[in-house]
Amino acid sequence: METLPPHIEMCPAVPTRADPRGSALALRGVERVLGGRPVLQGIDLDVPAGTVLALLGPSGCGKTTLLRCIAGLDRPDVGMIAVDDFTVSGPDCFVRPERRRIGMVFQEPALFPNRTVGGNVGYGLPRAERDGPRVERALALVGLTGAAARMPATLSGGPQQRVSLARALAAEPSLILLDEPFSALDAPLRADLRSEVRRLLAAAGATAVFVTHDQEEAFLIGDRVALMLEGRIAQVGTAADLYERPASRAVATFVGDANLLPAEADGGTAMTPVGRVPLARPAHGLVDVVIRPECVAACPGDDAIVERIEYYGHDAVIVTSSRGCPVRCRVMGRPPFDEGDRIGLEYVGEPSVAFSR
Amino acid sequence: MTWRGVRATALAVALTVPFALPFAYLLVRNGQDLGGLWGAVSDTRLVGPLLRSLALGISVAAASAVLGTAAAWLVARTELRGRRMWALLLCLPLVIPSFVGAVALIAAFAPGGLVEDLLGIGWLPEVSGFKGAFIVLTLLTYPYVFLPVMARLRGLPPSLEESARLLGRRPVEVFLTVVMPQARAAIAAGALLVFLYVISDFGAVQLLRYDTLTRAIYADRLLDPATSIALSLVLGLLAVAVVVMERRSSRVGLRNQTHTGPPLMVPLRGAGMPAYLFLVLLIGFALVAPIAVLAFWAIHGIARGSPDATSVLADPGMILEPLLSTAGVSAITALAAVVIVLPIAFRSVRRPGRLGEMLAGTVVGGFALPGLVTALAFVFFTLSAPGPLGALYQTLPLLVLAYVVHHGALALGAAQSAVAGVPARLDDAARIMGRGRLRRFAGVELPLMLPGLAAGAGLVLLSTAKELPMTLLLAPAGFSTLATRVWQAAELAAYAEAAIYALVLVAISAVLTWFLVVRPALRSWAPGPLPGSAPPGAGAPPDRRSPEPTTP
Repeated sequence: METLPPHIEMCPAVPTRADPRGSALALRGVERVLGGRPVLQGIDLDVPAGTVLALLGPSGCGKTTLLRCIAGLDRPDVGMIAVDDFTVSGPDCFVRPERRRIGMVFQEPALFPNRTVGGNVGYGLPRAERDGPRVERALALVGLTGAAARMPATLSGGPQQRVSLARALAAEPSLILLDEPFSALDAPLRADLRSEVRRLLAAAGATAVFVTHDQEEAFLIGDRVALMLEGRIAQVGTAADLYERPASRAVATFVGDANLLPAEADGGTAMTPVGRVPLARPAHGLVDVVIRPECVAACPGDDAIVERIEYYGHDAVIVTSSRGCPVRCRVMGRPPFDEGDRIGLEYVGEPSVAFSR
Repeated sequence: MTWRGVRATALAVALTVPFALPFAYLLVRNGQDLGGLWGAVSDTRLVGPLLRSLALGISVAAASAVLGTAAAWLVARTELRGRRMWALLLCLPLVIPSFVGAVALIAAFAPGGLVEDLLGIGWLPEVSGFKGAFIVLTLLTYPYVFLPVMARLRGLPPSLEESARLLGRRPVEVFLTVVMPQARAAIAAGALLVFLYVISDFGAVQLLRYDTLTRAIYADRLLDPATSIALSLVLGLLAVAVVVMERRSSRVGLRNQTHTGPPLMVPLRGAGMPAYLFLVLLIGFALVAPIAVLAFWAIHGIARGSPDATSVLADPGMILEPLLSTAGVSAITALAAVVIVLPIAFRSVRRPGRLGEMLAGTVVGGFALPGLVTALAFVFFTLSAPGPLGALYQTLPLLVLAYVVHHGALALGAAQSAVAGVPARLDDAARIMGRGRLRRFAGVELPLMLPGLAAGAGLVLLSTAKELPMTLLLAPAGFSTLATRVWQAAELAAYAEAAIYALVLVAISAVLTWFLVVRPALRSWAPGPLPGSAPPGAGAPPDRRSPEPTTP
């Protein structure tokens, strides 16, 4: 780094444990108790520079608190947070939010109602540049060229959130935090903004943490996804890692639709109600195998009874009972069965994972 | 409109008439005597009082705005310890009527008072005039700014300030560029209320001998009624203009947004000591000092056996009688006010429109008119009216009517929210089940509205108990309230006696304020700095209109 970030005078550069060098953001053992309840427990996380981490979790799992700790809006009770290899929060150091060079987009646009769009975007810039080309550039980036003179209240929700993003990007922060920025928007608008933000963050080469409770959103936007459950990081990996190789039962059931079928494993495979299933990790004895509904196909046979059909239009889920065990099976289009029909089921997916019972 | 709708509207209109009466009377009387009006208005005798009223109003409003805003920001946005306690204490000067504050200031510096006796200062400064009125009124009115500004700050989405901090601005800059512009409307609304309070004030300026409009109106009422009525009109127009402005400015606002977790608090660090010192001094002078002075006089008077204090103690009726008449007349007024404004509230809430707004506006106008002016209008009206109306002069019914006209707006606000809180669908549901209008009202709506109506009645009760000029002008001969007893004793410089009555009055006022204003406000105050435990949406700001200024 050519010029030291301003917080260096506040806080000495402390090499963080377990060599997070090269990470734009590193957290080690972060814990936070709020109102007597442990909200964050032993959080370790690394975000490499230039990548987007989607922080996925149900509401109340602590993901917003974690984000606020990174931003400096809250202070962890235990643990260390480093941005660009400089500790910003640790046992005896705390860099105030205004000195962290972190951009943040909140759930609501949080635009200053008394300032124009340009005034909002320029708010974090040095005085000389507050109404210069940098503001125009940031606005152009989010597709709002020429809106600088308008007041935020004259814009609708989507554009307001774009301005908020432009404001965060304009200051060229080392890290951008997005706290469910689309949760207040309508579904079609969300979809648009989602792919656009993905493109924008990539174009800006920004390091970002994107908080969401929407699995689709997390998978689309994150280079990697961290799933947070009850104050802990349950698993970090690519979207495919989380979906195909969940680290725990809880991950398997939170991410996507899953059958957990009882089976007997004998090393590389397991015998389940839908036949023999290859295992990605060897297992033995009585287990539950994670089987995604789309990995089960209907075939001629009479092992299973169709109990119900959930028809969604583009696809449908056949709820069957196979040897007394409910199995959900997803097919494209409308299935050629009726309730009460007897069908056969077979496994058609990649090697799956099993958890011992 | 159905026949029933016509009846309801007619009832609401008829009940609104008394609220328009005083102002209408002033207009008519002055219109009949345009020469007298012109004479009074062009007279130099008007200019002095008018300028003094404006000077006092503006300077007190400005000082209150500064004190109230600073206190609100410290409590709402910094890492202050015990913020609930501070918020509570900072509201409490509201319980001290202005004439009691003035009595306390005069008594403190009077020979034999706290300053001379305890501090041993031989030279006593002159406290009357602008200086004294400014000090007393500022210390007693800053809560009118503190409350709305604190509510506004607590209602501001914390993400605004957090964004500003994350964008690299220091807390001071954030305060100036983000918080202040957002709080401006609340500060302005609070300052206008203070201005209204000050120009309407009679007790403090009269006791401290500062010749404002109210004092001139009071002084001229017997010898030069034409001037008195003309000046009343000037003051009334000024007050109504202020209320119109206040209602405009308080309508501006940003909708509350979702709160997530605790807002970022500004660390006090080195500024901690001055911050606490500021709050301690403010509460010390506004709340502790007046009560200490009064308690000092009361205790000394009793201990030394001063004649006025002992006469009060010797006869329990001396305290009991004004206490009971204060309680009785206030309770009757509160009940009457609720009964009278309820149809108006129903009409304005259930059938929103221009007529409803006009009716509600008229009631608020009755509140805007200073109590002294309202009372004078009723005095002149009954004295000049022929026949049975004239007989009303200085009777309890007229006193209660005048109270209701002046304080009815307090009940109306509460009644309107109570009516709005009962979904009209409930009425529809009961109607479908075949219930008649009266049974629907008594069985469904009234029970649901009762808490709200009781709160409104309580506010009227509180304001009436502290009321002074209307009681002075309209009370039947021999009828005295605690307020008039304080007044009479203070005019005779019987400070020990005044102090005893004042302490009783403040105690009643404090109890009522606690149940009606403070407790509801605290209940809506989310568990403060302990984040995570705050249920979303629980941070509803305390109703900024609930503690209305009352003409002291």
